[in-house]
Parts: sequence; C-alpha cells; structure tokens
Amino acid sequence: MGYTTYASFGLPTFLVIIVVLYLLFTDSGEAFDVGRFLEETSPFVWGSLGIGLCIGLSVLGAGWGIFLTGASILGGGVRTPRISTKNLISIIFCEVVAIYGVIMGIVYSAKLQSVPEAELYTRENYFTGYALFFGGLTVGVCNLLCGLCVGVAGSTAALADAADPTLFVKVLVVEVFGSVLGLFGLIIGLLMIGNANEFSPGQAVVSAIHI
Amino acid sequence: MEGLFFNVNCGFLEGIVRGYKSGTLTQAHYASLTQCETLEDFKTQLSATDYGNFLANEPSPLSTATITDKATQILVDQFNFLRSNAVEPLSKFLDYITYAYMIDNVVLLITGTLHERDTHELLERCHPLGIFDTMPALCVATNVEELYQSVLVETPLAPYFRDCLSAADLDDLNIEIIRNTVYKAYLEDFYNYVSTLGSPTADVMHNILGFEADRRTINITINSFDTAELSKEQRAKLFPAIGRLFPAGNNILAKADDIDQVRQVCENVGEYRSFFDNSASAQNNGDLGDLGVAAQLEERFFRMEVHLNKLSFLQQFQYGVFYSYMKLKEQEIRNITWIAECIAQDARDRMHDFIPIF
Repeated sequence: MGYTTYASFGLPTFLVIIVVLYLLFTDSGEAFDVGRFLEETSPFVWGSLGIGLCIGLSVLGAGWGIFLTGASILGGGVRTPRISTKNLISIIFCEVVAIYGVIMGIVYSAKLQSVPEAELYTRENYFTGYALFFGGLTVGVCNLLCGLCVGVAGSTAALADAADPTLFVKVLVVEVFGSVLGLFGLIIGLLMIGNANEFSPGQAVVSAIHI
Repeated sequence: MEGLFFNVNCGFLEGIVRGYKSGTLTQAHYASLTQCETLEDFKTQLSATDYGNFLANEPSPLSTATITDKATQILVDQFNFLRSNAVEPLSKFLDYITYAYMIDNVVLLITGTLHERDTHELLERCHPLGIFDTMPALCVATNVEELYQSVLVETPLAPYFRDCLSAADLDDLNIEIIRNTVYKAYLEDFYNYVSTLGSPTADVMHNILGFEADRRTINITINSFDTAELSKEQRAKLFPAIGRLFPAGNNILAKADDIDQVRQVCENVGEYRSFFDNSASAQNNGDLGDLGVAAQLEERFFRMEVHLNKLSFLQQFQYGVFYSYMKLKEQEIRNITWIAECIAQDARDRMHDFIPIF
C-alpha cells in the first residue's frame, strides 16, 4: 500500500465516514437530502457548468492531440523534412475538435438569459439547466477522447510516413474514422438541447428557500 | 495508456531515433559496397548514404581501422545528441546503455596495465561512450580492492563490483571472471530497472536482455569446457539470473561437459532450437568439428540479436528503440569493417559473410 493509494482512496473515504457519522450522531441525518439539493440548486449553475465542461474538455482533447502529433512530426521531420507539410492535416483534425466545442458553447450560451430569483424555479428552467449540463458533459468527453484518438494515430502516421511515404494515406483513413467521433458528440449535444427553451421567468412565487 | 504521456518528453527523440534508423544500410547498399574494388570506391559508395563525407579529411591510403573509428564516432555523436536532449527516465535508460561500454573500458585498462602497456595508448583504445572522469587512475591499480576504493566507488559501476572484491590477484583468468561477474550484475540491474518502466518498454527489453543473458550463458559454458581452472561452481556463478534458460537451463549448463548437453538444453527452448541445427550444412561440408560449431553458433547469435532488435521498432512509445538502434548500428559498423577488410586483403570469397540488417 503506497502513499498514493492512501491519499487517493483512504483519506477521502475516511473523511466521508467522519461526516456521515457526525450527521448521524447529532440527529441531523436528514440534512443529507438529495432532493432538496436538486431543487435548490439554481439552474444557472447547471447550465454554466455544462458550458464550461463543454469547451474545457474539448480544448483539453484538442491540445492533447496536437502535442502528441506535433512532437512526432518535429522528431521525424529532422531527417525527413517532406513529412512536415503533409502531416499538418493531423493537427487540423485535432483542431477541429476544439472548434466543435466552441460551436456547442455558443449554441448553449444562447440559452442563458437573466431571470430574477423568484421566477427562476420553473419546470422548464430546471429542464434547460440539466440539458445544458449533460449536453455539455457529453460533447466535452466525446471531444476529449476524439482528440486523444486522433493524436495517437497522427503521431504514428507521422513516423510511418517518415519511414515509407506510401503508408501515409492508409494511416490517414484511420484518423478520419477517429475524427468522426467528435462529430457524433456534436450531433448528440445538439439533439439533447433540442427541446430546451431558454431561461425564462415563470410566475412569481415565494420559493421554499426563503422561508 | 503509454501513448498518452510518452510524447511529452520523448516524442521528439523517438522521431529522431527512427530517422537515424531509416538511414541504416539496406541490402541494396551492401550489394554496391561488396562490388567495390578498392577502399577509395568504398569511401565513394559510403558518401552516398547517411554516412556522408565522414572520411573526407582522411589522407589516402585509407585503412580499415580509420573507417571503423570514424563510423563509430558518428554513432557516438548521435548518441550524445540523444543523451543531452533526454530527461528522466529516458536519460537514466541511456546511461544504462553506456555502462556496458564502461565495463569494457575498465577491463581493457586493467588488462593493459597488467601487461604493462602505455597508459595513453590504452586510453585511446577505450570506447568513447564508456569514458568516465577518473578512468586514467585505473592504470595504477594492483588489486581489485584498491581499484574499488580509489576509483570505482564513485562511478555508476560501484554496485556491480561489490561481488568480486574477493578476487585475490589480477591475472588473466581472474580478469575474465571479473568481467563476467560485473556484466552479470549489470544485466540483472538493467533488467530490474526496465521492469519498473512499465509495459511496452519492459516487454521489449525483457526479450532482448533475456536473449543477451542466454547468449552469455551458452558462450561461458562452451568456452569453459577445456579450462581446468574454472570449476563448475565458479562457472555457475557467472550465469545471469534472467532469460529463457533461467533457472532450469542454467542448472544443467552449469554441470555440462560437452556440446551435446548444451544442444539438448537449447532444444527445450523453442526459439533456440535452430542454433544447433547443422544437419544440412554438415552433410555438405563433412563434420564441422567443435570450432566450426562455435563459429556457426556465434553467427546465429548475431542473427537472432539483429532480429530481436528489429522487432523493437514495431512498437511505438517505448524506450527499446534507443537500445535497439545502438545495437543495430554497431552491427552495421561491424559489417562495414568486415567488407572493408575483405576488400583490403583481397579475400572476396568471404565478403558476403556479414549479417544483413534490413
């Protein structure tokens, strides 16, 4: 059992058990209420988190893919300079993943409108909040994995091209299939918010949290 | 998962090494080299390859020793470029590659000192990749203990020498025992280090280092058949504890007395079965005799080594390519030297006895 195992598994579990037992023994066990958490959290939180995850994870995937491919192109290009121009297409595939994230971020942020607190907690707004969050998470994770895939394939493509020029087009086919994954994420992300209206004020109600 | 983080530190260097490897001589190059009539032709043919004009400043007539030295210098420069651009853990891996040369240099200096050769001449014959700062001080040593305390304890070779501090005098037989003991410790240490590096590097290097250990075991066994001074217990202590022949094969080889027992041990291991297979050639040339078998075995070992090193280039994102490139380039230098010698001595019938790589 190394220190990292203790830190990553042991300590959090220990803290959770302490908190749970504290709540239990001080008769405030009902403070742990998932339903109340979901009802009281503002839909803005969910929406903004979703957009943040969308663009953040997409850029992470694109950047990861670009450095994976770029290092190999630079290394292979020392002896075989001809590969550097052709293999920029792998970098472009990775970049496209970030563009998907930006597009979805723009589409999602059009749903964010200012609504006063008292009129915020309607069913439609809850739905929009959750749709933005999970749509953003979907697009972000899809783009992250797509960027990784294209990055590793692009790195191998660069080194294979440096060794034998006829291999490049064949490895490129693999990359094309990989980059389609990001497109799938984009499509599903769009479908997920298809029915979500933008945040709009409902009837003014005295909400439970002001009691 | 190794593909996700490898390129952060080592992607550029892997590209460089693969570029070096694509410049190794192919069958077409060897075909044109073997047709050269003189060493000047040879030099012209080599200038069309990645070697370039490495012999441009040499005065004619060329000698094969110059060709070998200059070719080795190219390899040393390439290695130094890689080593200076590497960070941990690749830098430690590359250091391990240099320890083998250091061991050879140390043994060369000790042997040369025993036979009272000139220090400067010995230092010039050392391999450039195995040079360390306190090397000239080795020439004043008289026994291993003193050697260790004064020089070796600060070098990376210190842990390998601890086991042979008890060797009493430095004479020729003991030097070979020291060399093999130290090399055994080095191989086992390298093997353990590579295991800590994780999956693709460990897999590739385990195969290569395991074969190296088995090759040394078989060579020590065969060479010790006629030596009365090397007892079987001493022989067994020189076998590395890694490789396909460990532990069962090592035990049998430790007690072996003739080459048939060695053959039997090798038949048990699938990959080594063909090493002693000389049925076809024996029918052609008559019985080869022990020396012939040993020479043929040596060639088969080289072929197997080249084969394993070529295989390591099929995997990306691992450090084995650096080690394999060094070994393949050394084999290529040996090939060029062989062809150059055959040209220089006009022995064209044996010119094709080199080991082709690609």
